[in-house]
Amino acid sequence: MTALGRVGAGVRAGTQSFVREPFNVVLLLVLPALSIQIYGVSLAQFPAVGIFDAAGTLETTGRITGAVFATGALAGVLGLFQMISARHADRRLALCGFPDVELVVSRLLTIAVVGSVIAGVATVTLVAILGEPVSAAPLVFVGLGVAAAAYGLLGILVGTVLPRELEGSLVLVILADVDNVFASGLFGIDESITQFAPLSHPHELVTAAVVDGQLATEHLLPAGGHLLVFAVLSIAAYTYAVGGEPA
Amino acid sequence: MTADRSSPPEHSEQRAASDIVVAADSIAKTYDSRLPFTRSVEVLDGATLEVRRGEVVGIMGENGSGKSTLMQILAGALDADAGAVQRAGTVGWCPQEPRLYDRLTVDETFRLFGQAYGMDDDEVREARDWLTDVLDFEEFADRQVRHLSGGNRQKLNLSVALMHEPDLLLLDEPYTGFDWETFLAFWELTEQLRDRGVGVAIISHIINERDRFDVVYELHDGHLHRQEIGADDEPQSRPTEGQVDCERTTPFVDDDAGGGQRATGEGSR
Repeated sequence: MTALGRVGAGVRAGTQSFVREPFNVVLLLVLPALSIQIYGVSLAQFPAVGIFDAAGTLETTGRITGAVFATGALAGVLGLFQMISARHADRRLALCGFPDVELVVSRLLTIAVVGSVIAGVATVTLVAILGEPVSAAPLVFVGLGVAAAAYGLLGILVGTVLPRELEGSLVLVILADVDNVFASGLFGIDESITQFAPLSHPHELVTAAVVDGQLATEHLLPAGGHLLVFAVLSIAAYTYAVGGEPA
Repeated sequence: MTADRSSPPEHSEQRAASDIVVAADSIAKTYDSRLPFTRSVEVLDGATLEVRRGEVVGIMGENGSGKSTLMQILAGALDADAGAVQRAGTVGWCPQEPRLYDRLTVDETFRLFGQAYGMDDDEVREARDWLTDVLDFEEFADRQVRHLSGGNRQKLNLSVALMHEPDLLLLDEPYTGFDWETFLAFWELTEQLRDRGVGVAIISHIINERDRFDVVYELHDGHLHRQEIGADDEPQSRPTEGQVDCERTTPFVDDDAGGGQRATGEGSR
């Protein structure tokens, strides 16, 4: 058995675990639409009197914010559940001879694969619901994909510290919600603060793609920096949970 | 295991040493408290044991005496604070709580763990057919683990430990939830493994099973007390002390140690 085969088996097992949970599938299909609609309709209620600082219309900004939130929250829960359901079994698998590195890689690739599906569903839903032409749908997918990756990794981190489904999910949803407030840019919060919000750069990427049809290249590097930091932290957390924590 | 009477003494000693599939020497383990106002718990204190090829060893003790902790240390799933564990050959570990993927089917579980053991597809299929037949759960091959009954989940848990035909089996209350037929099948299987030269260590609470073991270790106050079944009437206080020359376990047994076999699978870390 080659390393590629083992990693493939690990990714397949992780993906099957996600897809075989009906609640996950329902959330995947419903949450983006619900979130995009609620955020859009809510913000559309406010008169455009300069309270908010939005690149497009308030409704468009609201729908973008809803898509980013749904993507982040779903991917976060994915990472969390991966960690909770697999930590003990992963440890046994590693003791059976599955190389640690390949196990970590397969977990990260699972986040990437399922995160891409989440970003894809959110992109399609946003394009369908937005009510105005989206200038560059593939770039929307890129922005939402970055959001999914960041929160998938954060989910692994939260799952290590708080390996409980309800409490962990609540933490991630609240985190994504607060993060989204900073990221939306609606409240004119100083950029020196908002730049540290994990969803801020993905939000800018999606906004630029929807409104201008462009890739906001100035946000790619900081977004990549966030991903790198989260990846290092989540790998360390995963390694601790699977290999070093008392069983 | 008895030494060959016709062999020179040094050969007998070497052979006896090579028969040992796992040797633990003076194992100590304390669970430190990370919270203020809570105390640390000393679980093992100088626990020493050995398991030989073709030997079925029972480990008994009260609830909370540290049997599962000892088993995890023997398997390599947990580090000891002090002492040494040496394993020779491949290890199969059946933990008390099934550490399986809830949403994978029985078949998928065999395949995934088979890949971890380095088995090819045919070997996995053979192992699955053999174990599902012996333990009588072949009709659940397509069922997800979370939808299995407790007994069938335990059968799969045991099968994962057995599927690569290890040299040493470490079983932590392996028959929890088994019906009577499966319980008997389990012991029949254990006898077959003993005949094949597999060393088996089983944590058990069932006093009536003592006669099934070659050796019983009783864990009390962090110490192991060894009793040869049918040989000695009284437990010895530290019978293996001084008899086992152990070193701290490394990921693989030295090629020139024991049977010269590279340890793989569970316990290879």
